[in-house]
Amino acid sequence: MSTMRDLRPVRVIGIGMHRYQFASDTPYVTLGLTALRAALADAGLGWPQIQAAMIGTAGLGMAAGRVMLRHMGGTGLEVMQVENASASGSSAFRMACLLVGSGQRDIVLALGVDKHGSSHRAVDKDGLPRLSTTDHSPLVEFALLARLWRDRHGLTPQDMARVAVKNHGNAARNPFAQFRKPRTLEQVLASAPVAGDLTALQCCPRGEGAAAVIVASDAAIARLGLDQRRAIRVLASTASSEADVAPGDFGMVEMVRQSGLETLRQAGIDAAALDIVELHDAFSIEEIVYAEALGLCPPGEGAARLRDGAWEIGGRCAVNPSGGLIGMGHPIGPTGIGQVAEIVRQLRGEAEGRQQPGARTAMAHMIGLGAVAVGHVLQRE
Amino acid sequence: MELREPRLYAPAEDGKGAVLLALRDPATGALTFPRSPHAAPGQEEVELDGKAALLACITLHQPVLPGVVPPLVVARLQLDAGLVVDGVLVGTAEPPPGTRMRAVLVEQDGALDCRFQALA
Repeated sequence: MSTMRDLRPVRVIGIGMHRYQFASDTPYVTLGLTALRAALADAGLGWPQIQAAMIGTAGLGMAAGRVMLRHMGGTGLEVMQVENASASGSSAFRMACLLVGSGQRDIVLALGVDKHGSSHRAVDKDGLPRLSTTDHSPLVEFALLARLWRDRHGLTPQDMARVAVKNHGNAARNPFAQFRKPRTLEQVLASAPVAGDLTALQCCPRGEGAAAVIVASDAAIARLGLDQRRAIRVLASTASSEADVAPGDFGMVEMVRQSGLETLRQAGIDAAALDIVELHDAFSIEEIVYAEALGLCPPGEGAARLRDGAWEIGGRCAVNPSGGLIGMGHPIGPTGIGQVAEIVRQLRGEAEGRQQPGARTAMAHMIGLGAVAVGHVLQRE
Repeated sequence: MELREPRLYAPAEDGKGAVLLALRDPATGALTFPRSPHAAPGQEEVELDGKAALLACITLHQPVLPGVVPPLVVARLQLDAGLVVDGVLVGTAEPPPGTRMRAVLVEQDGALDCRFQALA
């Protein structure tokens, strides 16, 4: 099997966002094209130079990309819609990287766009009865995981709440975030109880938005005279799904662990080399468990890393400097591409007000219902 | 009174609880619950004792899903047969991990639903 490092180099040359926000009357086309035009401007490219577009969306319906992109003018480019639940955007980015890395295309757009409210989950249509209506509910799954982590590792509600305090604080410094208000530990703990020890401020909001990145080959960068110094290399791209685990174990956690190991292996680095990780913190407990699974600390020590500031901006490895899903938001289709855009901004040194000092190497990691995992490592060379 | 979901459970013969309706692979002994029409051919229908150990439970404080009337206690349970299932508990108490539980049938909106309660 080949990896990204076996293919020709792929670099992110342009990023653009439409701020994540609560549900509004804004058409998705407006959201998506705002991000797209920002990415084109950032790269210094025109629309006709984009050769393919991978559109990550989970809730818009068929042909969302074609309906949106026709407003840019018909160029005959390849358009593909990618749905992979919460990892839709990450998967669209992976497809874009593979198209360029394989030599099929030179310049490819990955764009995530979504509006909340119209997604339908296949798990509700499989024809099988359930003992509990909460079966397959991510909220219940992670509330139960939090309770198990409490019993196994002594994790407290305060430990989990620190994730939300950090990420709301980061989001307050991110102009593209849905939440822009710092929160104290007391406020997080006192917000409405939702499930188990999870309170409202420890759960990601529902919303809408868009994120776009453009990837290119070195040949295209040279041919178009683009700024090589602002181009960020994609070192690794992996995708996997949940495997069977022993009864009582959480398959999702093992999936993230295996996915993280493989992503780092393909990048040729270990976890200690990561300056930034953007990961799936739809619920606060996830950041702790996944950061442990990705190797940022041994299992059971995540709470201590939150307390000693290791995962803050300026700490050993900034975890979710964007604000993560809890603070920045989780509009589904855009989320994974928004992670990449944040990482590129950070690795360029352009994350004004929330810059991780000296950041050179970062991981973007998403999971999706079902479950799937998609990991990327990016590096400033 | 009718069962709300007769594909999932049935009254236990001792009249005190419920059994869960599963499939077993005669070659490997692997269990499938609920009985899936998409399972590999040759599976045999079995009834699993509803006794279980509680692994974890949480209270839902908000009506986050259709049919959820808070407070509702949801648990992850390991059946004595080995399978792990999620189920709803009787009442609003949160028993500690390891508590012995059993499936019971309780009236809910005019039908018998399967819940789990601590063994006395």
